[in-house]
Amino acid sequence: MNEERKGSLFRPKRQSPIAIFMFVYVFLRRFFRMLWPLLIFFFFGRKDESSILDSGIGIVAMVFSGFTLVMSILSYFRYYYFMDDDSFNIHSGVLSRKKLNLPFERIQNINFEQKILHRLFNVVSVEIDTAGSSQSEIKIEALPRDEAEAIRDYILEKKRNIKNLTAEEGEEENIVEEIREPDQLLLSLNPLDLMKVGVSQNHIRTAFVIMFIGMGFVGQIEDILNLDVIDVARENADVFNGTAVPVILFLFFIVISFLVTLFRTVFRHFGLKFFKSREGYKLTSGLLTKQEVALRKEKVQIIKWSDNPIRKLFGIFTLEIKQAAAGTGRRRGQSVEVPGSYQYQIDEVIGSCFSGSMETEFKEHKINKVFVFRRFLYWGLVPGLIFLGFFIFSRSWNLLFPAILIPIVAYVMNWIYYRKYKIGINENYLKITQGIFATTHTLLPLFKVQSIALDQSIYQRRKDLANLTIFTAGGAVDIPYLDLDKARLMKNYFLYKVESSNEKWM
Amino acid sequence: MENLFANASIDPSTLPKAEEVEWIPLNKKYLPVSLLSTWIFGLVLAGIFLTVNFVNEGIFKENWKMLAVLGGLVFLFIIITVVSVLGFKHKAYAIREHDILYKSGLIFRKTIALPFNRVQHSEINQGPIERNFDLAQLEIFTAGGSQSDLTIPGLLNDEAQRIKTFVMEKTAKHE
Repeated sequence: MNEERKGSLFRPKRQSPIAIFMFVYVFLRRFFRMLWPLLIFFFFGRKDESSILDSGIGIVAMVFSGFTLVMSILSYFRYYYFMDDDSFNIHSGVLSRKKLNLPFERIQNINFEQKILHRLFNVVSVEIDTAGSSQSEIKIEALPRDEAEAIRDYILEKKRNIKNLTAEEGEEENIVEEIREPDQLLLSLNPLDLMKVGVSQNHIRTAFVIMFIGMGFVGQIEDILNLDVIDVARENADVFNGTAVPVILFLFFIVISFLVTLFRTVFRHFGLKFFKSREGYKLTSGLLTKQEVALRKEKVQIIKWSDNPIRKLFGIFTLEIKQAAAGTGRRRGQSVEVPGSYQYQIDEVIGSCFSGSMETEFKEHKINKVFVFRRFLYWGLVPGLIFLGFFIFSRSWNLLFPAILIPIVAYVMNWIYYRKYKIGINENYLKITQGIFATTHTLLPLFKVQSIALDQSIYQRRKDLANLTIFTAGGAVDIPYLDLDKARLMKNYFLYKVESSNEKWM
Repeated sequence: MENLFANASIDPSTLPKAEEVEWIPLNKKYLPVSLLSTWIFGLVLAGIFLTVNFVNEGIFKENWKMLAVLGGLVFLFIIITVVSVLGFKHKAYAIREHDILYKSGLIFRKTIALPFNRVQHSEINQGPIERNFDLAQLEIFTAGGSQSDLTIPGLLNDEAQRIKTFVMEKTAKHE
């Protein structure tokens, strides 16, 4: 970094003018999301029905949007950022002025994101992740890429220096050595990998999402245009052969779901590169919106990897690294997903992140078999009997089918779940393997646990069984139907590991 | 009992047992006070219902319909009362050297344990009714999300303050 550039970081500056576009873009998107039913009404609605009320709403909307537009442009001109010796500062606000001061040691991470508009002008939006519960995330809409990088390097460098001052001498040497080590590429997805990942996504979930969104959309259009889609469909359905229609619709739906997940995967994970960096890991990906996320090793709480029947065929897993959330509440950037990972890549991440977790063997424990019968009772027998009741009342043979099928499916699925559920424990780690069709592995270091809950229903009390919930800062893990003795033993041991640890969990 | 894992340097069954701790019950005033707040809430709810019904000149024109709704409300609050009374004696807390425990639940018994070196911050809350009876509620937060937090209701205000100070001292030692 040359001195002039460095000096310029300390003078209050505005963002790149592209930020105006970003402000306006954000504003326009919000505007359309709020008002699209109204717009459809204006263009397609029956003209004779428009009243004074409608034009009134229109005028209010226009005035309101004009005001917001002016405000968003003004707020660009009143937004300054600069650094001083030990903090990053943002001064902003049109009507009420706001001065934000972020000491370097409170900054946890700095991530970049490039939407398509950003990429056209080679600017990035910068997300500054801070510790502390109030205002845990600060976003700067558009900075020139080199400048954003200069800021990030400077802040991270400063942070390291602060750490070095407090660290012991021996560690200092290590850090100096580490700095020379460049980022090591662990994984990159080529177009073929990307296809594999896309094909092996959960298409059924997409189908449901599309269905719900579709229903909501249809409902809103129905309200605006005052017509009933089912009626319209029925009127037009006469054209086709009656029985073929549902089948064609179903196939069409499947194909759409498949394509949607495929495209989503390509857009999201295009050009994905996953690096091991000196602080932890770094992930860049995206076709239109390019994101760059950095993970710090200490902040990782849980590593999870899962396959499904199609992924198994390709030999790939989806790796998920769950970070501690700085503030309260759910936030983006808490976990990073790396699809298309091979076993050796996962082992590499686990080995470097949770050191020693793979060396000592895990001793396996099972949940109690009663689990199968209880789950069968709730999810199989009860719904089955309800359908049977309806069948007896209505004599409609359509209802007999679910009455028989649901209990059978429920029994088989719960039995598989029970058979596959394994709890692995070694001195420092907990590993849970679970799933029915897919298999998910969850690995967490015991000393990072936040709290532990043990609960029992009346039935479980009688049978000396208990459920254990292990809370971490990256999500909770549930273990159902353990023998009470074992649950208590685990709880006491996990608590001991947490309480006897002086390591930083974040 | 078999061991949890192979090649252990310690035997987990010799560790302090959370289940053998001495539990401290909640203050006796907590039960009547919590019932009082529940009933006041119930009365307000019934009042709102009657007012709305009166203003709209009877959404429920027939008396029996109105009585059914009120009856349902009364039934609901009787159940809540019964569960509170029976559940009260299962609510208790315990403080150990390195963690704090709270148990509750009539049908689902739940014990939650929170190590002091994972505490983020803690809060004392007092509702208007609780304040009149010098009761308070202590909430201890971790980074594990709202489910992992620990809330002890029905403490005397002084007691809550004392526990809070104790917990914060223990937590500070680890930083």
